[in-house]
Amino acid sequence: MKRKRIGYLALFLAMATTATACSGNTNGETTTPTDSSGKKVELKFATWGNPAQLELYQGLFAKFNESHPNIEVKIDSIPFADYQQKISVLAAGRELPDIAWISERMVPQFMANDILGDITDVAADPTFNRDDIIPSTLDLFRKDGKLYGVPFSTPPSVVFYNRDLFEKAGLTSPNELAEQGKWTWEEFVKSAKLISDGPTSGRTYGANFFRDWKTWIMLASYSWSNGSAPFKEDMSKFTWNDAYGVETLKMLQTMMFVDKSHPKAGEQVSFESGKLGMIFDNYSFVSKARTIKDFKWSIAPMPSGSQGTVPMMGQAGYVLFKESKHPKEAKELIKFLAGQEGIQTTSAFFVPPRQSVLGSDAFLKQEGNPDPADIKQAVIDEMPKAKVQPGHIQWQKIDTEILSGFDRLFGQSGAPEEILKGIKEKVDPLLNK
Amino acid sequence: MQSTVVNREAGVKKRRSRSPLDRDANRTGWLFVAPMVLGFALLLFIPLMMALYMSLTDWPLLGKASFVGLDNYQAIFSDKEFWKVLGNTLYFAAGLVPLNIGLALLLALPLAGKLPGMGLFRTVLFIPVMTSLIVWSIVWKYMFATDSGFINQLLQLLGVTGPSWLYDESLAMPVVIITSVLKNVGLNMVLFIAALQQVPVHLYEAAKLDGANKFTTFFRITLPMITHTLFLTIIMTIIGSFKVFGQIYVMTQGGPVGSTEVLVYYIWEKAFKLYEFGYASALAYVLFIIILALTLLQWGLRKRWVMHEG
Repeated sequence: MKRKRIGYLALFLAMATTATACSGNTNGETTTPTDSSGKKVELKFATWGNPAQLELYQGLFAKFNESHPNIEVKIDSIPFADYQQKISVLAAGRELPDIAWISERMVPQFMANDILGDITDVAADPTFNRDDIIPSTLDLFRKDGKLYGVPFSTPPSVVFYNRDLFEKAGLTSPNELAEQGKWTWEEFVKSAKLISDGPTSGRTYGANFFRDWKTWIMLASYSWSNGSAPFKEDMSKFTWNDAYGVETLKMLQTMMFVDKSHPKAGEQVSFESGKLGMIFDNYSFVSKARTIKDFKWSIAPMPSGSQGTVPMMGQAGYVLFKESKHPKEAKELIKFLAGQEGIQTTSAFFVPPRQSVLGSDAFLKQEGNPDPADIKQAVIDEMPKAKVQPGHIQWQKIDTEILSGFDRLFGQSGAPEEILKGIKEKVDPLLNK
Repeated sequence: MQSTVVNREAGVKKRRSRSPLDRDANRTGWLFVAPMVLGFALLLFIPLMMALYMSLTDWPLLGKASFVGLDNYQAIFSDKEFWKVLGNTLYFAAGLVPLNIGLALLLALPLAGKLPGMGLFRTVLFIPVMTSLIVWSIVWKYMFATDSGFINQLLQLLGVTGPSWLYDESLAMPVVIITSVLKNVGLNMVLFIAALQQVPVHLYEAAKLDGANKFTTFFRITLPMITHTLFLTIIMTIIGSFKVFGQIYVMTQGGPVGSTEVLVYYIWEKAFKLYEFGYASALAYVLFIIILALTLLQWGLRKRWVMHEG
């Protein structure tokens, strides 16, 4: 009898502890219920924007409120790293906001989940002036002849570089080299090496490809600029294990361990600290770079390969969720945000998908921006050549597997050829799931 | 379901003794435990049963779930990743438990004394237990950072170039273990101090008279007299080490190359990153069974070595 009771106690103990182990991990924000008293409508808007961007949106919403006094917009801010996951969980709990930001890599999943609302009629509205939008930027959001989103940011990847460090090393600026057609990957590696200086701790590094050690996709530009790609066009195969993929990893390996011109895994060297010659990032990083006061910087096109330059095109857009209780009002808001005035305002931070705004002062001459000539060279002239980051329903898994491969490169526990072969074995089955 | 139990029990009591006082006391008693019972049912029992059901489906978070029977459990046993993750979890436990218990005991021995200033040391060593695990892990992540980390800068002063602690497949797990030991050693230490202070003084006096040296006294008197606490701390620490998640999530995200991917992190990843809720629930039940089995095993072995038992 006594033994039985002890058994129960043990069972309970184990149960209770497992339960707490699993329950502690998902504390999301609790959402307050929207009260729709009278005719007033409250729209919820999800974004991963930074504080400066949120402030800009507050201003936009106030403007929108003037013409639509009954519509109130509430911002729900979610960090980018958790964004896709949080939206998926909200969708499962039927607590989705009305409209949201969405980035290119999330589109395949959300389309497959069938949670996006059809907004074809927004773009068809003559006041929206659809023809002004660069046509290719809408491809991502189109499915079966219907439109499920509109872009507000179409940034190509660029090289942000520290002009002071380039001058100190006596190097020609990447802009000038690009002008002469000499800004190649070899030149990039050489410049990075010459900029690097100092002891192991507190060293000044020539370049960093990664943001938070995650953005390996920036390296795809090497293969693209040589006429190859990490994936087959239709995303049915991993092809980075070809000669160009191996060259990409070898370049990184050389920079990390031979030239010591690239930080080692785990080092937190930021561009803002002035200890980094170049970083690869979307143009959107400009909002952060503008706050730099200690050194001069600018932007340049990505280095070129045998086929010229091919930057990576990031894309972010507005979507309406199917389950919104106020689709009419939400569409009005999207029309305003992605319309002329909205895009004009947000171009303070984002590369506008509207032709008319792209060449305007609102985009080019923001306070703290680099020389408009550099923006023209690195952004506007590069956009037609850019490739949209590949997406896939299994992207999260694919991303994890590839990062795992890079871990091995960083830890020097495998040769590039062998690492890429290992990734291919893991990723190919995922692509065909 | 809970209420039928209440009624039946109350009914039995009524037949046995018809005193209205008893009946009242009974009702009052249930009223007193009602919040706990309700809380347990709503927050633990029902979710646990739902998770059990979920583990028998292929619920993908968004979209329809279909019943798949024991397929998920079958899949676990042929999942190579699972065995690797289980191995990592055992590695973590095998590193953490002896280190934690050993260090706690080592610290408790001098601190159990009545020397002045001991209270201060006890407090200092207990502070990490009260600190948020996330904050603790973030701080230690920075301490072990490759370039600007405190530890590597110290090594630099000694002329040694420190490794990339958290990005090295063979170093990441030991780092996480050490961080976890330092976080929780205070709790076990306090338990040991309490146990040590309850060992009757006359036993030590007798040992002294018999000419026992310090080692003999420790192994023949101190250790046997605190076995019940030792038992408790070992069980709790083992269970805790199987549940490790926060420090992994913050410090390594299961990397590099999955070398710190432990069971709970794997469950979290399957559920909230890859949306395989059915499979994740099945994994959670496997974890539950492992912990249950370990606890029962220790309970069974207890009589062999815990004083005052059997």
